[in-house]
Amino acid sequence: MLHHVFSFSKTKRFNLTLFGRDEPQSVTFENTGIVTVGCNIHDGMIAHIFISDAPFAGQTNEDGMIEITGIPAGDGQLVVWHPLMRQRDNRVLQEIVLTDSSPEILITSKFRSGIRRSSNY
Amino acid sequence: MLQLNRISTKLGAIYASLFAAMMLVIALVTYATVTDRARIIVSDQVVASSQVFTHLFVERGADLQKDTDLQVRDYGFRSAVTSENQPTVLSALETLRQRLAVDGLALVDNDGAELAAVGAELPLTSLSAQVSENAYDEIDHAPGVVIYDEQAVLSGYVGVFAPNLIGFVVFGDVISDSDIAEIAELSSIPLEVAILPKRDGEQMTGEVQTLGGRLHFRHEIPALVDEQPIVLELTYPLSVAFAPFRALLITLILVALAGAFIISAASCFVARRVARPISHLAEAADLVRGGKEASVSVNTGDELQDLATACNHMSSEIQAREGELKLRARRDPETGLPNRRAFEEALMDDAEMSSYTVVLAIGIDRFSEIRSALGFEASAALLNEVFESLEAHTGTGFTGIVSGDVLAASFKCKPGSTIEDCTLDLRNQLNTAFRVQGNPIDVTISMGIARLATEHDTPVLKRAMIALDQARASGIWRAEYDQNRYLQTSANLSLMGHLVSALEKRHLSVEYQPKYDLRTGSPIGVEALVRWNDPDRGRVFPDQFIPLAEETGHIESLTEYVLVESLKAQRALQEAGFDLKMSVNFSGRLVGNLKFAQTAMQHAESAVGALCFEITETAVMTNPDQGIAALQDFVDAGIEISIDDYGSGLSSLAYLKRLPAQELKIDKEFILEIDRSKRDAMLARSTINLAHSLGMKVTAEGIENETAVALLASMGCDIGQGYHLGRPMPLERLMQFLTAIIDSGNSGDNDIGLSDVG
Repeated sequence: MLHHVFSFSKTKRFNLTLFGRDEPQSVTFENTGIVTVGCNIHDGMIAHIFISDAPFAGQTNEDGMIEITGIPAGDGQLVVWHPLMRQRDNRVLQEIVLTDSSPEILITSKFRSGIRRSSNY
Repeated sequence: MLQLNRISTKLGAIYASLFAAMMLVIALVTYATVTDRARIIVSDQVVASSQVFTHLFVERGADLQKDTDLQVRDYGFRSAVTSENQPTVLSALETLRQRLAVDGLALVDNDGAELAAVGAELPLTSLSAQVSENAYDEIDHAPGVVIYDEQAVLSGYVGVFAPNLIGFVVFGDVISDSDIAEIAELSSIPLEVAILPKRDGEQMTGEVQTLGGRLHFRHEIPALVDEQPIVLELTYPLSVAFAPFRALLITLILVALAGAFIISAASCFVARRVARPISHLAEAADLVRGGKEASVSVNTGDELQDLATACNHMSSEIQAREGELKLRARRDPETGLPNRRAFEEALMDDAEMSSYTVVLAIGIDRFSEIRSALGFEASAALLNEVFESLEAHTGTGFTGIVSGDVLAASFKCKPGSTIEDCTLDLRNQLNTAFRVQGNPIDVTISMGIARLATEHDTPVLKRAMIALDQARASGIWRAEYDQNRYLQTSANLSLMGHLVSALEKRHLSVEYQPKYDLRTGSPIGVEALVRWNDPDRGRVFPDQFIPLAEETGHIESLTEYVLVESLKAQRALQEAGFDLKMSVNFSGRLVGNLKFAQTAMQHAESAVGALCFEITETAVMTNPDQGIAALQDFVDAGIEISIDDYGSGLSSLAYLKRLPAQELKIDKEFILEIDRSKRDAMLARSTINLAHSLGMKVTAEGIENETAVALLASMGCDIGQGYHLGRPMPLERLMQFLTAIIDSGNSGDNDIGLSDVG
């Protein structure tokens, strides 16, 4: 199956016309940010690329948990992003102060239903 | 001309108004039903139309949204709108607008802020909150109507996914008046359509309202902005709704009017059929009332015909009975002869009456005696016989019986003959013996004559009857009506009034006429005679007022007055030395009056000498037993009885024999000419002998000369009275008269001196 992968995100616009599994394509992201990738053939297909220059980053598991180690004590900013997060730019920004202990930080947010309307309603 | 009191008009009016009222009710019910029905039908149509319209909006909105969605997914479009090159974005939007064929199109970001817009301006500001909300929830919102700048806009929006939601494309299509008109034309009824904002707090009842003659239906339609609900208002004028039924109502009214006219005409016709016979019957009743025969012809075959038949029968019955009554009314019941009325009518109807027509009243003399002798039936038969004879001899005239014993005839004298000759002829024809039940009866008649031509207030028949009375009163068989004499009788009535006052005012006086013993030649008594010297009338003669006093009952007081005066005079005479028998006339009418007899006898007790009551024999004849008994009472009381005026009436020897009288006075009719009439002399002589044989003395009245004195004396007459011997004179004169006789020596030569004094 072939796909027509594209991005209209400001972070990186690209357009990879029909290609298959056996035809790897390469796109270089020069800027940090979110790149939302869609397929022009398959409406339901969507992918998000989070390009970050932060010293510590990671992706949570399916339960929304992530453990980040090695962060030195001091002041910092925690950014949590999720495509359905009901927040501006789908993210929560929180200033944090780290001591030598290992704190558990709970971030809460409302989420969108995430039910996309079908294209043929 | 309309006559309201006519049955036909009444019935017509009643039926027509009933029908009109009925039709009015029908019309009202029909109108109510029809309008109600029309309202329901139209309401249903309005509701249905609103549903159709709503559906149209929803459909078109959905179609637009679907098309927009498809177009927005176009890669090129997405590529263009994310290009951040404004001219590219605008041109992509314009292309899309043209593809969709909408009025306006806009691109907004996730917060509803406008990024670009083409065509008609859209109410993005009011949409932003809703749009941004949808952006968070990625929920669709159905398209709907929004009102912007006083225009209804069918609008909607779809998300632009690239591939995540980056904003919305908002489309709007203005619902123009022509669009609304197009929609309105879809309805089967001409609706007015308006799209309006929903009023605050307005509840959608789902029912059609009637306001000011219009049907209103408001129905909420999908709104684009939840906070700005939209209402579709359909209006329909009721007048338009009822228009199809107006023709029906007009037809109904016309039918009602036509029906009312037909009904009133028909009921008038029917009523006339009823009323006309009634009018005929009323006319017939008027005829019957007027005594005419009436015949009504009614052929309706119902009760009216029965009534008409009954009316006709009634009319003929009345005619028959009236005829019988008329006949009876014109017949004398006793004799069956035409009566006075019939005679008078015949007289009036006679066109041939002329100046020589006379009316005769013919009385049968002594009819009451004939009737009492023969009986009613025979006397009626006699009247019939006389009537027939009269009828036969009067020719073309009319005859009738006008009173118990008086027949009347209109009579035309033969030309050239005098009435005297004609009536004498007639009398000779009638004075004959009529045969009644085989027996001959002698009839004599008296006749009253009245001329038709003479001008009189008194009807001619009445004049004839008066003339008959006048003839009989005069003792003659025939008299013509004497107006002056009749007027005298009416004067009699006033005379009676004067007599009463004369009695009261002493205008009466008593005079005394001497009675002589013819053998001795000396006065032996006097007869008291009443005199009336009226200040106005002068001297009124006893012949005039005595009969009237008898008729009117004044004779009682008159007799009493004379009796009292006479007794006073007798006393005065006695005191003067004259002893005389006092004779007082005692009316035959008073003989049976027991009460007056008592009064008279009481007065008689005071008499100082002999007292004699002079009574006519006829007074006793009417009731002999009672009369004789009354006279006997007087005789028992010492009062002498004298039979007065003997020979003037129907003298009956049988009664004379029974009368307890001491004296008989020969009527002066026989004495006045006794010296010249041998016949009178013979009658006087025989009467004197008769009286003597019955033991009575005889007095002769009306002695006018010496010859009579001598003659009567020779016949053996006891007493004489008359102008020759002495006139009636007042008491004073009588005194002088008597004194003079004595002074003259009281010789037998009694004629000397008497005439001097008389």
